[in-house]
Amino acid sequence: MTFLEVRMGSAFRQFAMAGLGAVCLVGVPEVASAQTLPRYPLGPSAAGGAGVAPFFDGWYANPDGSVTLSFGFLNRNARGVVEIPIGPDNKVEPASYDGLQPTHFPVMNYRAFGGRRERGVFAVRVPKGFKGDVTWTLRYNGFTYSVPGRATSDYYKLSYTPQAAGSMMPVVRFAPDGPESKGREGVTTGPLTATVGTPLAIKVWMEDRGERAPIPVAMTWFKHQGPGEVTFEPNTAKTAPGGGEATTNVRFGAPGDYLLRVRVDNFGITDSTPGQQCCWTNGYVRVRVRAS
Amino acid sequence: MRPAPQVATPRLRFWLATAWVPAAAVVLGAAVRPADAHVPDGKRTLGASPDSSAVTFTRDVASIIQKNCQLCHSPGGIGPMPLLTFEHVRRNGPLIKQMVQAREMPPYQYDTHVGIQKLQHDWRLSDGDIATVVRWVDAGMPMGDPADMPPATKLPAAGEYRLAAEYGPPDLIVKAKKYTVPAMGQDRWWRPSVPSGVTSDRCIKAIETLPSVAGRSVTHHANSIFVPGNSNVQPDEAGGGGPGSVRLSEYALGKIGEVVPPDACRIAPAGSNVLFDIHYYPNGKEVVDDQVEVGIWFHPPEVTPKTHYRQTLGLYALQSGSGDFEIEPRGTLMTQGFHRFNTPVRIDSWQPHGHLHLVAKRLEVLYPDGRRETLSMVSNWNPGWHHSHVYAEDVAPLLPAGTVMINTAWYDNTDKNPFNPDPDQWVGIGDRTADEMSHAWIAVTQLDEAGYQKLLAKRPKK
Repeated sequence: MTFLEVRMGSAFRQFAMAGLGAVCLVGVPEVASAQTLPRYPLGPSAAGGAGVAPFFDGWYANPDGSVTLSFGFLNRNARGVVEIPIGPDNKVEPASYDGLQPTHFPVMNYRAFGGRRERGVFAVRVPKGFKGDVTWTLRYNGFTYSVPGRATSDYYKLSYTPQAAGSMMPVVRFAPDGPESKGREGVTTGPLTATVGTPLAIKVWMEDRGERAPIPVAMTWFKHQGPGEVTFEPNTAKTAPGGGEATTNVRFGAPGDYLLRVRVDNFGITDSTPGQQCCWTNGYVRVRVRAS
Repeated sequence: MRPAPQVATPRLRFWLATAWVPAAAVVLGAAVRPADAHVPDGKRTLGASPDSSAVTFTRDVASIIQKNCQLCHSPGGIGPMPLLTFEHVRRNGPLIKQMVQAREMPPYQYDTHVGIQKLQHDWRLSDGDIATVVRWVDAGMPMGDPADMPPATKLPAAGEYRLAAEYGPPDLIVKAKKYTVPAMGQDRWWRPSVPSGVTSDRCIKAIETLPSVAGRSVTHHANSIFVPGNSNVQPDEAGGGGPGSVRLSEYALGKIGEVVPPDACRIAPAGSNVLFDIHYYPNGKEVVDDQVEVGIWFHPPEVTPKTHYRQTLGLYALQSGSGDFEIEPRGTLMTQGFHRFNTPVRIDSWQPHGHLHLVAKRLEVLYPDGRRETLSMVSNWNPGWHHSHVYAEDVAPLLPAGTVMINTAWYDNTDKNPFNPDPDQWVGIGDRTADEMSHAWIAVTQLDEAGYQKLLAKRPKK
């Protein structure tokens, strides 16, 4: 067996025979819906009919020996928000880690090497000595994808330390002296109560951190879980250098329990972009929405 | 199949692979190989041993090792073991045979039987040299007559500019600001801007990006861009310099440098700054005050942008139909990128770029008359060695206006890929080493019709 065969197996031989406009084989989905066409990676993405890929973004070693596992996602459809309620189609295993994952998967598009992934949308912490994987599974449009969170490869190791230009993950609070977060696991507040159609004001306190001169930080709001449409006004806002506070007014389209996520970042400086996995912090707000 | 097949983790395997890094170019310095000493295109006879008894170390093998191996495999070099003596080579003979037969060593991944084969600074062994090594090992590795031993080669010290052997010391050295790379943690991007020191527009002859000796194994890439003189300029998210910027060079693990043809001008603008975009990858050992530098050799002052065609270095993207790409767990992927040249051009060099999941890359052209030609192919990509494949001057592709360039890349996210850190993960586009990229750096001389016809007339008719 040649080196090439050892390294590439039959895949390369298939590729090598492919010409311009070739169709290449990718991993075959577990179940293909009868309504979906085959996916051709060299063709434009279909507007719909594709699945949602869960991504394991990396792991953090915590001082107490525990490990934080960070997850994101990529909606493989070119258009259209995908909703996958928590349950058999959207689960984290072991079950003790289930429940913080998103159910709302918009189509993202970041510049440069950010791509279409939304990174670090939730994280779970496993205790020191934890063995095995924390697996997130998403099933949609007949495609089932699972991804393991594991602290086995240094290539996926992330860190809390300052980046090259001094950036660090900002501070997020929901009260001036309230609990704070400086990382992916985030700080959670609530449940707040709201009524369908009536705006709910949510205020966020943010601080830039880093071994450099202070810069502005920005908040961006996302629906994370919930049964209806959510709109934010404003969706994003930026502070003065060093941080500050900002308010968004949230409207809900249907009653039920919601989880909102605010991402506070300092993107735009040389050492901080989504593709670099730095620097942002999550905050979560639980809201119980009544019918009007 | 790898220099360190028994190593426990991909990261360590990759580190060992990249620990060969910058001492590199055995074709440089005392061992410069003439440009026409390309790998012959013909029937391979590897492993054939018609007359094994005739092959000896002193007469046949020592010179091959000297010219092609010792720069790295010497004390202070980056090879994992020295290959300076008969005993060194004999002890490692079977491994050497395996590595040269697989064309894993010398580390210059470029297919031998497709596309353009005449390259400058080509590290590949000829089929004849490979056959000699194989026959010698198969014959029991006889030493031979000591009187046949060639004189020892003078090896350059670590940390010296490799192109200096050919061009002398650089005319200009631009040093990035220092940065201390931590022992552990995630990838870092260090993007300082410093004055270039260029006082009048000059044309560049050669460029070499030089990581520090201590930092060479953690310096994944180090790109550099001339930006208008403004120390406060910030790179964009892709490391670009924005309006008015001109790419100086691109460095990635294992690359030596770039050479600009004598009839072309890659400009160094007067009064500019150099904006660095350095991607560090912590590797277990802190590197204090690391400093990357770029050495620049200029054409004589009479060579100006007004007298010579402009050469540009560009990033040519490959993307799947979705605008970027993702590779499924234990899956494979092929992507393609296209670029149409609206004016005649000459392709001077091609440098594939990718990370741990890239396994092969190809450069083709589709001519306006419908002909399609493969220019270059790498089907055993190694992320530890990012070579700029510089075409010999008399074969550098001359492309008429309207030619379409086709870049193709193949990715392997299965456990068959020895560099893959975790085949169970989705892989997507991203800055980190664990993520993927899909582009090629290509140096292009921008011609006009008159210049194109003039160069074409010099070429022998096919």
